Amino acid sequence: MKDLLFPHKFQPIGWCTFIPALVIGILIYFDTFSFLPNWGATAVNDIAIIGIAVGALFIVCSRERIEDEMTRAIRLSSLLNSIYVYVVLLIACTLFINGLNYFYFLTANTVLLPVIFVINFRLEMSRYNKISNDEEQN
Amino acid sequence: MKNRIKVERAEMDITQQQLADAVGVSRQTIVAIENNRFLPSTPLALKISRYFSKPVESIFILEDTD
Repeated sequence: MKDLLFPHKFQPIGWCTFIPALVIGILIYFDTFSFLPNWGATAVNDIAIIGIAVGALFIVCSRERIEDEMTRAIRLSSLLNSIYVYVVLLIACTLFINGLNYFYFLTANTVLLPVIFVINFRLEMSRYNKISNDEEQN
Repeated sequence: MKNRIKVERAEMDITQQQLADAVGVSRQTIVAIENNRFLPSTPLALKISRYFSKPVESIFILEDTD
């Protein structure tokens, strides 16, 4: 079964897209761009959402430096765990957040799953890398 | 499932990195397999066994709980 993964060089491109877009997205919540005209605010929103989504996609769907069956298994397991976390967050926020704040959550919800996936996958990979680094090279 | 990869490596006096390079995986994968944190696929188990020139059943031992 062939994997549809981007080449490894897309990973740094993903980080360079993801982090600035995430920062822009957070700044939007603090009305940092309220000085912009309507079309400008819309453009900033679009850049944030698309940047986070595309950046996250490049980060998790790019080959690792050494891509083998373990990284594929970690990627799949991270995706499953991310879905569980996403659904729990969705239910919790639906129950405990109301009014306009729930609308803000819904806008963040558009990119919540990719963000959780990135965090989950990179945490798992760094955990396995740490275990192998702690193990004596023998 | 247990495995004797560490023992076989010690007998052949090779490092985890050398074994990883020989079978085409990362060193992290070999570490994870040795520590029973990851089950190799059939092709990888066969490659490892072929590298050590031993039958796969002598490298990977099925336990009753499997």
